[in-house]
Amino acid sequence: MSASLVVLPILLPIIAAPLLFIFNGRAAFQRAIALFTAVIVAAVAVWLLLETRSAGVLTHAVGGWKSPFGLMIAADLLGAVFVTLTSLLSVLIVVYSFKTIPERGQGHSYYPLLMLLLASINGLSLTGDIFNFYVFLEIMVLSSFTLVAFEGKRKELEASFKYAILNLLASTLLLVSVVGIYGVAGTLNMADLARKFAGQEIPELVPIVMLFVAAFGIKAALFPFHFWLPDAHSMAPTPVSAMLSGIIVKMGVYGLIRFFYTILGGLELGEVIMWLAAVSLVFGMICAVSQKDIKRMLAYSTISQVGYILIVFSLGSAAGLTAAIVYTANHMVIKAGLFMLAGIIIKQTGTKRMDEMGGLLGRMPVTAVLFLIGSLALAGVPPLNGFISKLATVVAILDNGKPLLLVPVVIGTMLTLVVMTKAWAQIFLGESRRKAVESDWLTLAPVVALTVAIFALGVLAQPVMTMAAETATQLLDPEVYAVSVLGGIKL
Amino acid sequence: MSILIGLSIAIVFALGTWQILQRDIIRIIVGFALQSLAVNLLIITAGALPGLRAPFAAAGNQSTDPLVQALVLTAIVIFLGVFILLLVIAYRLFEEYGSLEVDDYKDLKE
Repeated sequence: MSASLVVLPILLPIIAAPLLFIFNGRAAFQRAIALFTAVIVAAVAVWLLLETRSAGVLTHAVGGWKSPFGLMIAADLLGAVFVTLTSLLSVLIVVYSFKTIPERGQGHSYYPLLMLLLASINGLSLTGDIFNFYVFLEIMVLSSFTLVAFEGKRKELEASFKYAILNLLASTLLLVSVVGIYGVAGTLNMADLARKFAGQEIPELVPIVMLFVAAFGIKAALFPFHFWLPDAHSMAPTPVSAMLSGIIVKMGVYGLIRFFYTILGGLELGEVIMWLAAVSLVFGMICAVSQKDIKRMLAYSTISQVGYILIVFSLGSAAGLTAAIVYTANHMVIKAGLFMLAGIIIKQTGTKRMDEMGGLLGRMPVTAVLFLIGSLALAGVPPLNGFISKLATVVAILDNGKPLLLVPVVIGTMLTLVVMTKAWAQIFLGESRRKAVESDWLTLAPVVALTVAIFALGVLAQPVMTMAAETATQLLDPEVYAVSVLGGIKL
Repeated sequence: MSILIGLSIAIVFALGTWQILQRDIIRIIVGFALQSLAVNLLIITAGALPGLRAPFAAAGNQSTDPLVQALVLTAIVIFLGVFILLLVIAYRLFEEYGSLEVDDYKDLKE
């Protein structure tokens, strides 16, 4: 039973995608199938997380081929956490898409692509083979750049092309590093690699590490590679923006964690990543200050927030990894909610520019309150969940004895508060310029769910922190993963 | 022999990079294709060394690594899909703007 549990989060959406194409043109069927699949996958994911927590790493050998030779699907805590986050978010995104994606897209390729995206992210989180990792990464880029261009107008196509070329370049770099690793070690299995690299100094690994840091840096929009992100995230259909900012950018961070901790058994180039992340943290917010387009502003803020995650990741300590995982979960909840609200506001007012909105407080009070809660959570105001992640960040940095790093963290947080309150005031206060009414409840429901999660993760932070700490402990001991995947085999 | 293959991989990859830096989107896509092909060559060379036979053709351990050939097949299939989708986007861009020059795409930079 546990073996099929590991495969289901990948298999179900992959089966659903062609099934949805069979119902091409029948929007009601497609909506029902997509929602059904997403709910089942989410249930399986939560079950998988609980099972992984109690029973340790779950594995499945594809096709019955024994471990170092065949393809492995393996769920450790990190993978299970990412699968759970993605699957829960995708349920909300499917519900949000019902009314916000134009009718012409509903019955055709939108839901199949969304399901492929879900399958590829779950696949990335669960695979135990580095070449398979590359394949899932490629599927993720393909389905997401097609979704970015979904509206098919000029700006969307332009953003999609930029996103595609940059991310495919990153995938190519990753492929070179995967081949390099294969050339050095002669295996593609992550657990087997961990065994072979344990406690050895291999000079050939230096260029390989540089290659995959660059590849994942592009995926995670680390400072010099960030320029594709604002275009793609602001031009995608809103539910896709929520997915892009909520989880896809973090797959870069996930890849770094996987390659450094599970395979190489320790962090390298930490200083480089740390200072680039510090720059992208401050730089993202400085760019966000001057934005007029609401979704573009949120996209720049994503660059800065991923900067926080990479800073704590680059500390290389258990506290840092814990903070990175907590931050990833909390930022996903907050930013997905904010993007969904931005989509609602854009749809109701008919403009993307914040300076043309104004005075919506009286017309859309529920949206205004939800947006305020999201903004405050992003800036890290207690008792919301953003505060917990900021607290974990600061504790991790001080624990590691690098107080100088607090300077960009504090500047970034202050700028976030400035940007978000300014945006809120510009959108909801002042004189009313546009006729707008409250959105329908079906579209608001996912945002309400995310706002409840903002409070819940803030007030009941202890279980989340414990879970993240367990994940970090498991990651820092790659032998746990290796033993579960390889069994007793010694090569 | 391996120096020759290594050099040709480097040259093809460099040509691809140079093409990606051009202002014409078809050239950018061709550059991406060249890079992918260079990487495919690299995958093959990771397992195929001069003097070894084709896998499964002969008994004994004188055969090349068959796994890299499976990998390169997968990589080629993925590359085909990506290449076609990129060309579709390029075609739609041409339909919308009537131009293939990156400099003419100004709607995002208002």
